[in-house]
Amino acid sequence: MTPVEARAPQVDALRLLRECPDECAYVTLTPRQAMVGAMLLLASAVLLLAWPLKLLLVLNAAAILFYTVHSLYKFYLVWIAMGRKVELGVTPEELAALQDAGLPTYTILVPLYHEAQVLGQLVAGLQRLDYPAHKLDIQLLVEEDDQETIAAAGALKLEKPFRLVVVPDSQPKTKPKACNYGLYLSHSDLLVIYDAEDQPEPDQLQKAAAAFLKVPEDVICLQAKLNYFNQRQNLLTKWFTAEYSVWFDLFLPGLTATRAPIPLGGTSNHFRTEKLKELNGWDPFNVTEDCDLGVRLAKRGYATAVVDSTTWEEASSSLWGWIRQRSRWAKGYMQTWLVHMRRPWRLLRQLGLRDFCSFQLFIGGTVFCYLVNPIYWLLTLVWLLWRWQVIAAVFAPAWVYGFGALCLLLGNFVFVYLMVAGCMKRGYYDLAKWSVLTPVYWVLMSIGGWKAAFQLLSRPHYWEKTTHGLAAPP
Amino acid sequence: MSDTQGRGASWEGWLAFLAALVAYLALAWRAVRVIGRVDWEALASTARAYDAAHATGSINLPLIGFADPPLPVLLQVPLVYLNKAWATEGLAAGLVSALAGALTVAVLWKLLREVGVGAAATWLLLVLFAASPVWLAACTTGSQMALVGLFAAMAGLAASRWERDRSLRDLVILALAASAAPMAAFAASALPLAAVLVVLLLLGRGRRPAGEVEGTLVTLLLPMAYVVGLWLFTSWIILGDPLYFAHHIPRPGVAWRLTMVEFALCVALLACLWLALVPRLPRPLVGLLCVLLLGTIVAAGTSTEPGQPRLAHGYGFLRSTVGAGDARTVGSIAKLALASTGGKRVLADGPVDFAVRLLSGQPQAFVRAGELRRALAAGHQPLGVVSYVLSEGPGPSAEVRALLAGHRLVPIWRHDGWALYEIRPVR
Repeated sequence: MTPVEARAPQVDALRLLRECPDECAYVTLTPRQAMVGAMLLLASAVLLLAWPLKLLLVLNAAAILFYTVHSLYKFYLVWIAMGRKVELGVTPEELAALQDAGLPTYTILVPLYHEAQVLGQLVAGLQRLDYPAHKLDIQLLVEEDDQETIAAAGALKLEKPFRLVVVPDSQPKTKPKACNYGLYLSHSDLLVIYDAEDQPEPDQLQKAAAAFLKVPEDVICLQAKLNYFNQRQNLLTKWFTAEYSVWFDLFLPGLTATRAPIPLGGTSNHFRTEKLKELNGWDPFNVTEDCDLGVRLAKRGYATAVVDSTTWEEASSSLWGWIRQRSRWAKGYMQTWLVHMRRPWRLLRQLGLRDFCSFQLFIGGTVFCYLVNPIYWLLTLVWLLWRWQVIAAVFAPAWVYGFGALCLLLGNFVFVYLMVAGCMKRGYYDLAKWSVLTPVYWVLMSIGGWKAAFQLLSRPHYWEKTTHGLAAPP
Repeated sequence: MSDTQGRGASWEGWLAFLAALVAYLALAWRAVRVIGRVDWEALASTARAYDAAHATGSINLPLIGFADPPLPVLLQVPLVYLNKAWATEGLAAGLVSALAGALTVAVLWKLLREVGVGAAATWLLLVLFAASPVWLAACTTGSQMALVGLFAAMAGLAASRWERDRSLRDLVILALAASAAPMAAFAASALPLAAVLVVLLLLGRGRRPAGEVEGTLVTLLLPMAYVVGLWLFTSWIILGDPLYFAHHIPRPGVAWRLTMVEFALCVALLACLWLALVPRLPRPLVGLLCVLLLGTIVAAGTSTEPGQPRLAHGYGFLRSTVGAGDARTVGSIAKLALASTGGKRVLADGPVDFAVRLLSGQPQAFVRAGELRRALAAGHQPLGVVSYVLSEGPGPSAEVRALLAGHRLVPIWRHDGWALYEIRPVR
């Protein structure tokens, strides 16, 4: 019979809200942010009436400049990652030397919500982990109202180290809130979080444990690489796989090499447990709690490294499912940016100028591109078809035109080429040619981004649940 | 040669770069400001960059020029935008070629050291290369061959490293360098073809799986395809003709063929260097390829029109570049440039200020009276610089003749509807 943890009302899953409310996304916009936003809108409206062309020109120039710097920064990160191996590798000798007695205890958190369908394959994947059972604490975190998954877990008749933790029904009903329950029930040295459909490499825990011994003490998090086991299911999963390959094999290693804040992936994050508790766990109100946590730990002077181990996930193969998932990620990035920009000067002091800029370019820049790209696509199309002079006027300064042309003609190509490079880095040689169609994928990203922008205002804490089990696991 | 990655201290590479840069910049300055020698192609590219950046009204994209590859012009646009004097003093092109030339020297240093050439031999080869008349002329006159050389050297280094490590970054650098070269000079189209050939040879030698071959070729060919597509697209968007460059090449003739021979010879020399330095290719095959390549080019270059001396064409460029420091040979360069371009691509429309010693008197006069007189006065100093007027049709316009009152125009050369006149004082 699966051990079931009784409801633990003493577990404070909302500790971040109580301890550091100004770092919690419970409030989307602070009064100060709302006031600044309103003033900017008002000023823009006045300027638009008084000097429309000048305003558009200034906005255009600022956007072009941001695009240029954002693109150059990402190219720089990829350049670093391609030039040398940045990920933490662990040799077979180092693994062999990690004696059983010396292995740390490990908690595995697996938040589940309506995942009865994939529970079996999840458990099978976790049972394949090459780690002593007596050192493990595998918590299946299930919501109280999810009787289907609770019943499925009971039917599996799991023994230790598995235990079912029933999360009391409360708001917000989010993955990070559930994870916080598991965190404060954990007494292990290390902790990792996996999603329901995850298939981690069997030696990942050992690799992470060995890697933690090699890194400085301020490295409190190791991010494993994520990729998809259904890469070739359809065109969408091919694009998604290429994107993930770029993200985890090129961008994140580049960020690691420069010790910049890393937006964590939502799974396969390995932590030193006590340090995670010190950070008050995850933000239960942020729908990309992983990205937020990566920034918070950087603000406290901690660092993240990428470990050379892969967790295989299921790429969303349904278009609408993909858009919903992407909109949640975009909304979470917006939340993260707004939360940490509540006190920009403090953020600057905490991160330092270089990492502050990295935060703006990487996290802010992602949101910016999602939202602003369609505007420039439309401008380009209108110009090609009708040659409106207003468009020529806002590109009139030669440097604006020059940088804009560079972003359009060279920048876009390089981003497409990065997708090819990501596939090549991963060894997915046959996927490289599909990356040529990446601009279509960008349109989907922007659809997700705009959906997120509207939802940020209407339902900021709503969690767009991703459906799993549409593809057969390997 | 042994494979040793990164052999040699990085300060040596920096030394090679800085020494070459200082030398090329100084010589470029001297060529333009002291000797008064300019390269017509470079002058044209600077003029186009100037007009594209500063012409009144909106951006004059057509003035970038689409009959020639755009890269030499585009690289000068930010320079002349920031400082007009670099255009009016004729220095912008030399700045770009000097920088490209110095970078080439540094890349070649890296390549030679990585393939195991000893330090002394490396420096000897570098000095011979950097100081050779052909390369010196290219780097000090704003010639696009400096850019081609840089891309060829980068491609050679990347190919050598990729052959050893199969690193993705080196494959990407090879692809990008080979793609960019034809945008500096059309004759450098041999470089992407050579890159594909080398990669196919090395993949076939390693018997790589079909999927890996496919992915590698996509990585290599995508930038090349994009550059070609972009060139056609921008030609179409800006000028309405995607094949503008093909429709506006001067009527082929001896002089045009001579220019193509020059460029092809330089590219072939660099290609041979690259082939020779890629390890594991059989030496006899490399030697045979080099002989065939160079022999074909030289034979083509020495073909002549009836009545022309055989050697005059194949090695004419060497004669002119060896005399780079001699003011009296400036005329031969003008003739060469005149012949090779037909004068048609020398000048851009619109007001361009230039104070140069080689003048042009096109129907749209672009030189101000004061500059012309100053240039003439400077030209008649004991330095012995000769001044010319280049004119289309029946001769210099009335305006130019008025400016040249007190001088006589002596016809020197006529080609394809253009005439070159030497300006001599009336004694």
